[in-house]
Amino acid sequence: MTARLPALRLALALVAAPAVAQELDAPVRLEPVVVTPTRLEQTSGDAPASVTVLTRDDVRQSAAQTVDDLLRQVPGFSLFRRTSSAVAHPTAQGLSLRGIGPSGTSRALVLVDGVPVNDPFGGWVYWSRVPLQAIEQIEVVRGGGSSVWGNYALGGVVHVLTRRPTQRAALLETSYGTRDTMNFDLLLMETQGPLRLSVEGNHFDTGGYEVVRESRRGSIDIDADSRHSTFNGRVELVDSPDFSLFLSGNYFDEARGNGTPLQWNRTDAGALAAGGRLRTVDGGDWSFALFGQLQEFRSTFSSQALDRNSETRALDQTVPASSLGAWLQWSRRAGSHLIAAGGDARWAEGETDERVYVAGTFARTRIAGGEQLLTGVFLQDVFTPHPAWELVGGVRADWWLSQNGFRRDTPPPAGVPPRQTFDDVERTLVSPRVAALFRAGPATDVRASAYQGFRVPTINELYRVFRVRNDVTAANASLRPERLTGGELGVHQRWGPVEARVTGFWNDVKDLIVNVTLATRLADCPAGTTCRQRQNLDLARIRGFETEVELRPATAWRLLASYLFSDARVVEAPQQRSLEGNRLAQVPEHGVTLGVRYQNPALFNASATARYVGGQFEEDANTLPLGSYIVADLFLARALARWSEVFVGVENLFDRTYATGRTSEGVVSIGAPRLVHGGVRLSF
Amino acid sequence: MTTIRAIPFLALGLAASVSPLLAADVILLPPIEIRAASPLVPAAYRHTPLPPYPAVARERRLEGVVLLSVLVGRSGRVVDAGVAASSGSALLDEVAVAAVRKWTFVPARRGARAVESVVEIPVKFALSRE
Repeated sequence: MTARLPALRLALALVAAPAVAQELDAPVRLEPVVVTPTRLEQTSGDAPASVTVLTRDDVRQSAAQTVDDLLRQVPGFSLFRRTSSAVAHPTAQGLSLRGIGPSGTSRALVLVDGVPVNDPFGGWVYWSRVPLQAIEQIEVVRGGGSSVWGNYALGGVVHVLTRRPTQRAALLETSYGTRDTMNFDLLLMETQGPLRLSVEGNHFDTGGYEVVRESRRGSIDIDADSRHSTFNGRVELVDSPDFSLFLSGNYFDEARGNGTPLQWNRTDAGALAAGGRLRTVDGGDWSFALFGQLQEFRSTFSSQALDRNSETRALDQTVPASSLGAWLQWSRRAGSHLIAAGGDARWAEGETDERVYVAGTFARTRIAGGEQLLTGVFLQDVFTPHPAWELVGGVRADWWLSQNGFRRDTPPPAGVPPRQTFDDVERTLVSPRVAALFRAGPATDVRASAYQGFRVPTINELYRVFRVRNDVTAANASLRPERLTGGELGVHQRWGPVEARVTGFWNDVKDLIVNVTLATRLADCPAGTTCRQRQNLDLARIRGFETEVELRPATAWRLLASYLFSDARVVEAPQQRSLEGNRLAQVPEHGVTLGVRYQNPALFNASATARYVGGQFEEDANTLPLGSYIVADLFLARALARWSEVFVGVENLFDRTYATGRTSEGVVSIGAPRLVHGGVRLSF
Repeated sequence: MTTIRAIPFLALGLAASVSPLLAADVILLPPIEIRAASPLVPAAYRHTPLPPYPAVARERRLEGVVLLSVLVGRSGRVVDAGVAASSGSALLDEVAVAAVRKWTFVPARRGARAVESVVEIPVKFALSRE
């Protein structure tokens, strides 16, 4: 009898009757172990691509206060300029992955819950439209995504997924920091039967910082500040796991000072989206979305004296733009095939209404704009012939129409006709992709893929002139789409607590749109300015590799290291042979991120990140270098109760000064100084 | 399912190894004094590499806590492991069991002697830590 006692005890413990087992001297309960996805783990279907996933944890454990600053730790992620979106000009907020794309326009597609958010007029991204607290997960898929997503996805896709309500909850995050920086973010979630509601309001305000290097600062230089407010609402009807519908809306308003009294910009935008998902009895999975956006962007520019003690108004522009879009996707598993097909359309219209000033006095108005339509269909098959193999084949065809392009100058400057209408352009673009994943062993994956992708010129690139200090970049209505042909090969290896991934890539971009410095000034460039124009370069080549290593020596610790090498060069430029062999503007050769994170909910959570960005050039001619730099961030959080947490974040811990831009006159823009913020997170 | 079939063997194995000791003690002393007389120092984690989060589980947003019962041998290796309380997902249960089988522990001790012991380990699968 006594001999049976332990047997009974163990059997009970194993057959899920812990309550009874405990009375009989229960086995020792050890500390819980938490398994979370690593950043390198893949979602199926994306498997042959190079994906980095940031989870809600990564978001909560970062000193970054904006999505773009958060994403800078992902290898290969960069914005056109090094400046954080907290103070940068929105037109510099286009992202590129792996160094493809040296201008303010994005060379990757950004989706929030499946809805594209690249600006319909200029392709850049308003990062602050997505408050950090709302983020569930961000997937950064590097490498050609055009075979499914079409336009912009030539460099990859960044997919932001927001939180879904699972119960009634209220989440508040508020912080205050140096430079009068305050952030207030309230997210309310509710579930009522099949309805799930969430509303969020976020207000951010910062006094900002000086953006011109001290040695060149004059009396006109003031802090570049910014503030924005975002309101998001979403209603979802989840009838069953097989059927759901959603409706969401976003209002966004931001205002920025650009570092001198006469230079500022503001944006107001409203967006609506609706969609749904249906799984049919035959196993088909349908989803669709409709989305539209209305916005107005206004920006003023000045011309500054060399000593920076005076400035005169140069340009005041207002850019209304609107867009509409829709997509429909279907997928179904058929044996070892997962077949997906779909189609989408996106229409955008916008114009720039400008008042041009010469020597501070009004000279003329300039209005330019146009309309674009892009529609495409795709088909993709993910074939799993054997558990160790996953083969992906897909192709997408797009039809691009750019029409009603116009420009009116009143009165026109010398050499410019008063009224211009530009020819409609029509193009068909085909984007194929093949990819393979081979699970060579239980701990080893090998990936390879080859693809083509594209990006069409934006309305902005075709018709809008812009100016940074005294450097003017003119538009070009005859730009052609960029075409990328590329491939990559990667290995993903796990050794116990260490996970590593190396991916080599090769991309040839035909007709890459860059800002080319001209020897002879165009009519759009006033005397005394440096004149550039957007032009298609015949061929640019971006080759390199990225490495990511994640180490989890114990459950509380995570160490991350990543390195990107990107050799981005102009190969052929018949219109300007001197550019051949030059590095692409604003693309550093080396980027390194090191991170360490300690998570112990009973004590505190901490993370430290250091980022090295290699030297790069401001412009195509490679005469204006921007030196390398290292910045370190620190974040500490401690739970006070189940429902509250206090935190401190420090950006640029060692207060390093680094260049973010350099004009031909030698005025150097600088990045953020040390910024400290502290706050509280409450959840009910 | 394999875990459940393993239970009788696991139970027998443990019963055989521990029973002489317990048989003597239980007859002589009340339960509380068993521990006082020959205190059991429980097993502790030594090397516990975490399993990858299964891709399918990520895709379907599966989360949950699996409670594992693990028989830790005298050497600190796992003699057997089974599910004591399911996470609700067979996939997560399976992944947890497979991972734990590879773990090593500091074995439990009674006095100076390493002994076999049973530990319960909650393994939580969470798409983000909160």
